[in-house]
Order: sequence, then C-alpha cells, then structure tokens
Amino acid sequence: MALTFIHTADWQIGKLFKRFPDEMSGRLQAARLDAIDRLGALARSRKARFVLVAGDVFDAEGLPLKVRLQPLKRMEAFGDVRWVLLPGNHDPAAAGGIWSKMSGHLPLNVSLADRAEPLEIDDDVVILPAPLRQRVSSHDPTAWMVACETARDVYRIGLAHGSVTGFGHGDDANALIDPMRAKSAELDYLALGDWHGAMRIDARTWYSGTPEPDRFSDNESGNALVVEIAAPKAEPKVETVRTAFFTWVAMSEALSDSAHLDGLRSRLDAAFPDGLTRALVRLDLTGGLDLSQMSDVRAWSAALDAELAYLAVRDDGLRVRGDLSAHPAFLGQSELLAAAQLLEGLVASSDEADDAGRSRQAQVGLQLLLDAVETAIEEEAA
Amino acid sequence: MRLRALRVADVGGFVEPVALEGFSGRLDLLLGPNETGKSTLFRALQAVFFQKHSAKGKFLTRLTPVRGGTPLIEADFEIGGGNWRVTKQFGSGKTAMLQAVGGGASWRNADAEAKLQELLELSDAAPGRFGALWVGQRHGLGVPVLDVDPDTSRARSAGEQQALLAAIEQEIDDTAGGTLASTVRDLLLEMAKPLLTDSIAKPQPDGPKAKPRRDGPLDRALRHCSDLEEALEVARTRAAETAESRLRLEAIERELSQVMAPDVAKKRVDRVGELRRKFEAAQKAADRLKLLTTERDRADAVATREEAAFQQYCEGLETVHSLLKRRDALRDKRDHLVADIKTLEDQQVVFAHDVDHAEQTVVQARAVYDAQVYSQRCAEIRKEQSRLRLELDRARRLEDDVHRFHAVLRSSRVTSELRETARRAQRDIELAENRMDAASTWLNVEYLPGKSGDIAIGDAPLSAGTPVRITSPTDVVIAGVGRLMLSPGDNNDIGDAKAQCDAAQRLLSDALQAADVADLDALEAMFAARAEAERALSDAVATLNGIAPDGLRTFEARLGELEDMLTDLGDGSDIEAEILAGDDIGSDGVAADIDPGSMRTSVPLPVLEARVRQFKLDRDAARARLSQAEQTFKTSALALEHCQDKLRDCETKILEFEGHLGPSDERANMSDALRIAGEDARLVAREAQLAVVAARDDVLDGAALEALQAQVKEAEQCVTEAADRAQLLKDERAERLALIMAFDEDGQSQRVDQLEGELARARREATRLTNYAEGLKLAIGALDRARAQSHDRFARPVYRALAPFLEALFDDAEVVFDKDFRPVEICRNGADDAFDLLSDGTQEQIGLLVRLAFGRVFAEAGQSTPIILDDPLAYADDERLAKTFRALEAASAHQQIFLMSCRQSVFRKLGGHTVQLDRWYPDAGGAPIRSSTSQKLTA
Repeated sequence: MALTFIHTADWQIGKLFKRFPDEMSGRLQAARLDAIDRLGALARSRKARFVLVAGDVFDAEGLPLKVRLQPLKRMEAFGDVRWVLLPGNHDPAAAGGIWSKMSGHLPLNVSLADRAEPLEIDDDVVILPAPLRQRVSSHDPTAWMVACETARDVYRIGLAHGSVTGFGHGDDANALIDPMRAKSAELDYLALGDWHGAMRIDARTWYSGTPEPDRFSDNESGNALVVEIAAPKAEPKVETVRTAFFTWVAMSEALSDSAHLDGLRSRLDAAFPDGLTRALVRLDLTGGLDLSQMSDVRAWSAALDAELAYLAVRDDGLRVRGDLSAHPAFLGQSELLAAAQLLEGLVASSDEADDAGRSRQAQVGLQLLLDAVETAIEEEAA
Repeated sequence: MRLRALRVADVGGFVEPVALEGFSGRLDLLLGPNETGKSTLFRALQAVFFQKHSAKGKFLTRLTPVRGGTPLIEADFEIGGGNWRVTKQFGSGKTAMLQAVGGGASWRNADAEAKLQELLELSDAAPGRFGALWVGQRHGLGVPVLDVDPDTSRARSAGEQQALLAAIEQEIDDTAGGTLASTVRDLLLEMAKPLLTDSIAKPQPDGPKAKPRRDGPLDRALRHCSDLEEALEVARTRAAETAESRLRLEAIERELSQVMAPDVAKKRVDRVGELRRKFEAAQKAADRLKLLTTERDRADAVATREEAAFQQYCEGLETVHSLLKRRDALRDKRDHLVADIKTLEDQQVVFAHDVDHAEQTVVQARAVYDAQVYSQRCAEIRKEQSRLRLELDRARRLEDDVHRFHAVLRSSRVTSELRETARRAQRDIELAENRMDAASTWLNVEYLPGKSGDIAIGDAPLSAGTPVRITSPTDVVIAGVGRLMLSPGDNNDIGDAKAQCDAAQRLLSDALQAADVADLDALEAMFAARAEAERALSDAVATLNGIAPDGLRTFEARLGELEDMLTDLGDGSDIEAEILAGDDIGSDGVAADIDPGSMRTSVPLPVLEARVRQFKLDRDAARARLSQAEQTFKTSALALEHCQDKLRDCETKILEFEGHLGPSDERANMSDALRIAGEDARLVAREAQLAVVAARDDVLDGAALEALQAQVKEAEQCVTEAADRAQLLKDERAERLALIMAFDEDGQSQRVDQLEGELARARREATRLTNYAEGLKLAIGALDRARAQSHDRFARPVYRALAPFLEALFDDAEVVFDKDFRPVEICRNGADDAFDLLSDGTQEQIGLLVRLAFGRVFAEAGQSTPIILDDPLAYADDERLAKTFRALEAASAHQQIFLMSCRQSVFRKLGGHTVQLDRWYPDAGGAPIRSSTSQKLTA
C-alpha cells in the first residue's frame, strides 16, 4: 500500500516578532497558527495518512498555556488527520520542559514522539523518532535508528531535528545529523527539521522548512512537503507545496535618480502578482539623490508602506548629492544655501570619518532645513 | 520721531515746574552753565519714554528731589505723522497718560504704557534704538556698545542690537535672501521646541548646546530605553537563571535515570548481598580455623608433654649413667691429686733447700765483694792521707814565706806614692832647670892656652867649656885682669823656674827623707826590692790559696776525717767472718779466691760484682721455683678439695636419680611405656595440624578479610549514597521545577523577547528622535553660522550711513565693526589703527559719528529717532569740533538731534535751534496731570 504523508517542521508557535510593531507582530503570530489549518487542509486534500512535524512545534519552553493549547486545538480540529510531533531544540522533551506540561492536553489524533523508540502507525508504518531532550546536544540523535529492527515490508520513516553534518550551521551546530542516515538506517524517508527552508539532502532525506516564513531570507521557506512512497524501499516522491500566508522579500536598490523608483515598483508588482497586502518588504536603498529626489523617495516610500503589510526602508546608505544651489528653494537665499552646504559638507566629512551616526544626523538636518525652507516659502506665498 | 516739548516738576533739582518748549525737530540745543539741570532733563526724557509709571526703587530715588515729591514729566512728540503727549507721574501718585494731541484718543496707565511702546516700536520697555542714540553725560566718550549698560559695562537686554538689525533688515534680506532665513530658523526652532531646551535658540560658535527637553518626546524616548534596558537586564538575569535551571534539570534527570535505573539498583543490592555472604562464610571459616587451631595446640601440648616425659626419663637414665661415669672419674682424679700433692710436698722441700743455698751463696759472694771493696777503700784513704800531709807541709812553708814577705814589706818605707812623688819632683826639677837654662844668661869660658883657671867666680875658677848660668848679679874675676860684674837682668821666668825648682827639690828631699834614702836611685832600688817582695808574696799567697783555699785547718780536718774513716772501716774482721761462714757452702764457694791472711782476693771487683748479680739471679730462680711449687701445691690441694666436693655431689645425685628412675630392672619397661605414650600423643597432634591446614585453605587472611569487609561497607555505602543522592536530586528537581514553573506561569519566558523587541523599537524611536533633534541642532547651527558669515554684508547700511560723516572728519577713512557693530579698527590712509588705541577725543568723535550713522540707518528704516547728546565733544579741538558740527548739521537734515552742553559760546557756533528752560504752569487744582498750553519758547 502506497504511503502519503505531509512533512512539516519549525512552526515555532509563540515566536515573538519583536522587531516589528505590536500589530504586525500579532499578525505574524496569527499567521503561524493559521498555517496549521492550511497543513490540515493539505493533508486532507492529499489524503495523507499523517502529518510529521519534525521538531520545534513551539518556539520556547515557557510559553503561556493559551499559546501552548492553540496549536493543539487547531490540530484537534482536523480530527481525521494524525499528527506526529517531535520535540526539537526549541521545545526539547526535557524534564520540566514544555511537553511535560502537555501530557494531559494532547488530542487523540496527536502523537508526541518524545522517545527514541519505534512508533507504529497502522501496521505498515514505523516512525523512528529522534527527539531532542535538551536544547544543546552534541550527539547524533538518529544514531539509534541504525540498530533499530523493524518488521520487513514496513515503511521505516525517520523523524529528526538538527543540522546535517557540515550543513547549514557550521561546525558548532547543535544536534548534528549524519546526512547518510537514511541509507545507513535503511529508512524510506528521513523527515528533518531545523532548517527553515525546504531543502533536499538526498532522495530520501529532506528538510521541509517552516510553513510560514519568519525572516527576510531567500531560502524557500513557507512550504510543506507532500511525500508519496509507492512501497517500502521505493524512492519517495516529494512535492513542495506553498503554505505561507505572508511573503517576505528583501530588496536593495542603488538610486541615482528618482526614476529608479518606478523600476523598483515594477519589480515589486511582479514579485507579488496578487497584490502587496501580504508582503513584508525590506528595502535597502543606497546611492545618491538630490534633495528634491530625496523628497520623492520619502513620498514614494510612504505610499508603498500603505500598500504593504510591512515595509522597512534602510536608507542610511542613501546620500544627498547634486548642486544645492540649483534647488529652487535656495534660489536667492544665499544664507539658507550656505547653511545647507554646511550640512552637506558635514554629511560628507562624517562619511569620510566613518561616523555614520553623525552623517545620518547631518542628512536629517539637511532634510529638515529643506522642509522648513519649503514650508516658509509656502507660508510667504500664502 | 521728533521731540517737541519736555516738562518736568518735582524731578531732581527741578522743584518748581519747568518746561522746554518749541523743539525744532532738527538740530535743537540746550545751552547752559553747569548745574542747570541738563542731565536731569536727560533722565526725565528716559523716564517718561522708557520707564513704567509704576517704577520705583533706585530709579525713583534718583528721580525724586531730595526734599521729596512725586516726579511729574510730560513730553510732546511727533511720530508717524501724529502728535502725541505722554505724561507720567511717578511715586505715590503714579499715573500715566498718553494723548493724541489735537483732540484724539487718550490712554491711561497700563494702556498708555502699551500704546506708547507700540508707537515707539519698543518691546518690554527696552530702550532699543533709543539706547543706541541717547547718550548721557560722560557716556559720549565711548563708542556705542550695543546691549551693554554704559554704567556697569555689563551685558543687558536693551534690544539695541536687535533694533539695529531690524533697521538693516532690508539689507539682510537683500544679502541673504530676505527674511526667509529668519522664518526658516523660526520654523526649525518651533520644530525643536518640543524636543530640546530653549537654549537651542541661542546662537553658539559651535552650534546650539540644547539638551533634550525634560519630559519631551526625546527625553521620554531616551528614558524609556533606559528603563527597558534595566528591565531587560532583570529579565535576562531571571531567564538565565531559569535556563540554568533547565540545564540543571536535564542533568538531574540524566543522573537520576542513572542512579535510579532498576538494573543498576539491583546490581548494587545484589552486590551487597553477595559480599555479605562472602564475608559471613569467611568469618565462619575463620572461627572454625580458630577452633581447630586451639585443638591442635592442645594436642600438640599433650604430645609435647608426653614426649618430654619420655625424654626426661631417658635423660634421667642417661644422666645416671653419666653420673656414675663421672663419679668414677672423680674418684680417679682425687687419687691422682693426692699423689700429686705428696710429690709436690717433696719438691717444695728440695726447692726450699735450694733457696737457702742460693741465699747463702749470695751472702758469701757479697762478703767477698765487700772485702774487696774494704781493701781498696782502706788503700785509697791512706794514699789520700799521704798526699794531704805533703800538701800540708808545703802550705806551711808557703805560709812562712808569706809572713816573711809581709815583714819585708812592713819594713820598707818606700811606697809607690812616695816613689811617684819623688819621681814627679825630679821631673819638675828638670823642667824648672830647663826653663832656667833657657831664660838664664850663660857664661862660657874658653881659656887661652895657659890661662886655664884664671877666670873665677868668686873663688871658684871656671872650667873651660862649662857654661855657667848667671842668675844673679855675679862678679866674675878674671885673674889678672880684673872683675866682670855680670847682671842677669830682670827675668821673671828664671825666678819662677827657680822657685819651682826649689819647691821640687824640697819635695824630692822630703821624699827621699821619708824613704830614708839618699837619692832617687836608692829610692828606686828600694822600691824595686819592695816590688819584688810584693810579687813573691802574691805568688806565695796564690799558691797557698791553691793548695789550701780554706786554710791549713781544712787539711788537718780532712786528715782527721780520713783517720776517722779508717777507724770506721775497722779491721775487716766482720767480712772475714762472713766469708768464713760460707765455707760449708761447697767447693764452689766464693771464698776460694780469698786470701785468708789479708782477706784480699785476686779477683777483680767487677768480676765479683758480676758474680754477686749471678748469684742473686740464681737465688731468685730458686725462690721462683719454690714459689711455683708452693702455688702448684695449693692448686692441687684446692683441686683435690673441689674434686672431693664434686664427688660428693655426684654421689648424691646418683642416689637421687636412682630414686626417681626406680629400680634398675624395671627401667626398660618404664621407658618403653613412656615412649609409646609420647608417640600416640604426637600422632593426635599431627592429625589436628592436618585439620588446621585443611581449614586454613578456606580462610581469608586478615588483610583479605578486612578488604572484603571494606567492600561490603563500600557496597552498602553505594546503596545508601545512591538513595541519598536520588533523594537529593529529587528534592533539587522539585525546587528547579517549581522555579521553572513559576517562571513559565509568570509568562517570563517571553519577557526577554518582548523586552528586546520593545527595546529595539524604543531604540529605533530614540535614534530617530535623536537624529531628528540633532538634525535640527545641526540645521539651526548651520543657519547661525551662515548668518554670522553674512554679517559683514549685513553691516553694509551702517558702513554706508557712516561714510559721509566719517569723510567730514577724516580723509580716506573707514571704520571696521565686529559682529556686534562695535568699532574695532579704523583705517586711515591705508593704515589700520585699533580703536582702543586712539585718543579719547578721536574715540569720542568717531563714537558720535557712529551714532549719527545708526540714526541714519534707523531713519532710512522708517524709524527716525532723535539723537540726544548730553555734554558731548569734551575733547575735540577747534578743527575737529568745526568738522563735527558740520556732520551734526548734516545729520539733522534727516533726523532730530537734541544736544545739551555747558560750553555755551562754543556750541553757539553750531547753529541750530536753541531751546530754553521756562517756567511751567501746570493747571492749579484737580488732578496732578493737566493739559498744559505750550508756551512760546524764546529762540
């Protein structure tokens, strides 16, 4: 009998997106919970026999009860779907850990694989879990799978959380896992968690990544894997399915003319054909613009921010350039022009002195001066 | 503005009301001697225009007359095309009134003050431009220093510079772009106001020094950051503690799982049981061994005892046997000793005889020896006696010679002294004669043949060839011829010599007489005989002393002694008797060599002496033999006694042993029985020993047993420790769990994340506001710097206004101002001079010109302001004064100049319109402030 299941990981429920404003942080947290619904729906639609969550269901051990119960309730809502949860390094199966408080709350359709021992599902599937019992571990938690004997003609599915040796986190990574484990342990599939993007290690070894992205990284996050295995020992067929609600994009642009903003906008529109409302964008702007173009950039950014779920503009590398005397605001205003040029000189000298803070302040001062000049002109005109 | 009239009452020295009416509005002069009240009027002008009517304190004191009163001041002025009158009464009746002259509106008190400020375009009653142009007495000397109190030289907010800047605003606008910069600065200040302290508005060379305004957004943001940092630190600490607890909990679980693992616990308990069983078995084996060992020892003791009894019996038999043999041996020995003692007794007799014989031989040999010695001694004494007698005879002869020589010497009268005296006298005589011969007159006669003897002295003819000394007047008779009368002359030497000679002769004579000799030769012969006698005496005495140094009596005494010695030696009969007594010694007697008749022997004394020594040796040997024999005898006797004692003991023991051993015929049976009993007991003991050896294999030695016991304790301790450790870990686990649970339940696990998020946002906000505030400061600072750089261009109107006045006084001159419009330098004919170094007169003149220029600037700005000068130009020479007058006259074409001076004749040359003090007649009754009618002023 063929086997289909969903491979997901790194939900990290309870994660605080602390760099974001409270409102956005709340939306991001909610999106992670909603991802469970999408996973459940995916499992149903694909008639998956179970969903493997390869570690880090929770982001931390000391989460409030409400936060702890929320994902369980979401999973319970999909009563026809069996969920197998693996403790990871964020939520290890440690004494006094988060799972020790959850034993009475687990729904019937949810299994906690908190022991390194075979977990039978039906008669033909054996899950070999490698739960982490502590945050920091130097041994390979999958090592035991090699010696674990199971009945013949059953699916041996490994479930682990950690870094593949030499992969992802460098030499000092936690819970290093032998990338050849699937072969050495004769696994039909090894479902891995910890790496937040979907990643194929070999035909039988995959990272699913997190179902809802949580950072500006171009690492194929926001997916789940639908795994189909025709028969024990058969090579699995793995399909990456998008599950993310939000899309995180980091873009950078070197501006020398405000007209470049149009191109930037075009790229954004192309990246989000369904609209920008679910887009989190980080813009790194560099280059140099004259004062009026700088104003254009600010106006453009403000307009874009209104469209996006979130916009972060990092324009520390953007400099005022051009002939200030040509700016209409300073025409006939020698004193104001002199003051602006003083500030412009301060920006340049601070840059040379590698004093980014001072340069930034001088740039702000220049912009404020320009704003004040324009305001004064408007008032006089009025 | 132009001043038209001034009226005062109860002001300073003006007790009576006075008035200055009819100002021309151009160049007005008030000339009068000192103490006319010009300075009082100057203060009255300042008071009415710039002091509130309610002012008091020092100002009021200075304004009020000494006798008291309520100062009343009234001024008419024209400004903005209208004529106005301001009246102020200070002190107790403080009142202010402003009226539009010509029936217009009027304002009172505060309204009047406000309206007046409005008319004068002043703020807060500061003198503003008036301060720059109204120069009191003594203050005209200096240059105008704006916004500095001329009395105290302290900065003040008089608004003077601001007024000047306002006046040249158009110029600034022209230079810097109009008023937009000021508007921009105001806007920036407005933006900065919520964020920064008010000092942001104060220009500083390095930019504004403003700080975050307390409770402003920036201040709140910074404090919020600080608060969050503190909270985060606390949360992190607690989170770290909890994290440490989690790690510890994991370690506890691991350890607990190890400690409490059932198989491990069972192993620990099993090990304790096993070790305990081993130990108990070892203890039992040890006890059994101890028991067997005791039995073995007991059997061994029995066997030993039995064997000892047998051995003892056997030894008794052997002892008896040996005692019997010993008894027999002792008996033999006793018999031998008895025989030996008998032999020794005989031998002692023989040896005693030998000793006696040897003793006698020695005595005899000694006697022979003594006889020989006696004989020789007697011969020697007699020989000595003979020799002594001969010596005695010789001594006696020598003694006679001595006596004889002594007699000779006693009879001789010649002594060595006498001889020496005579001989010395003889030498003196000879010396005196020689001296006389040398000093004397000599008469030597030579006769003619045949005439010998014819010449004589006195009666004595003179011999030929015999010189005659003439020592005294001498008559020489020459026979036949006559007489010669010879006189030796007066020669002292001759006299002295003669006297000496005579003395010597007397001495010689006395000596000879004493010696009883005729002449010196006889004396010499006698002295030689005496010397010979003395020498013989000396020899005799020496010889005698050699023979008998102690006198002849010693000879006699010695002879007596020798005689006594002979007597003591006797006649030798004793020796003879001894010799003869040895006759019975034997044929080898020593007397064989003795001549019985003379008791002399021919044997030499050394031989005799050797014999005596030999005989003594023989005797000593005999004695030794005897002594040895006696000792041997004693020893043998003792041995015999000892042997007999032993024999008795032996016989006693034999009797005793035989008593123990029983009858001799039963001894063999007895011995066999004892032997068999011992062998049986030994067999039992050996079997016991085998049992011990067998048991020993099962027994651990002490160290092993102790080690086993230690193992048991260790294993038990392991169990206990494991239990204790498990309990300890459980307790700690409970504590840690409680801590973690409390931490989690408080929602603290996300507290750090939350705070970090908040802090990051707060920092971003603080950074944003900081950048905003700093940007504002930088922008304002940049504006101020730009404005300062434009200053020279601002001052252009002042330079322009000053130029014609300056030209009137100096050729090709230019004044340089600092940013506060203070003249700092004057350039004349290409040379620069610091303003402070100029003469007082020049400084005063330039100061006046600068004020005229300021006035022109104000006038051009539509703020024409009277210039009031109280007693100026005190140091100007005539030429400068004339030129300054021209400048004043030119300036008055554009604005009013009111000049007061005590130098009437000089300033009359200035021309202009002179005003005079007149009586002021305020309306009688009613309010103190009344409308007054202008009086006609005399020109």
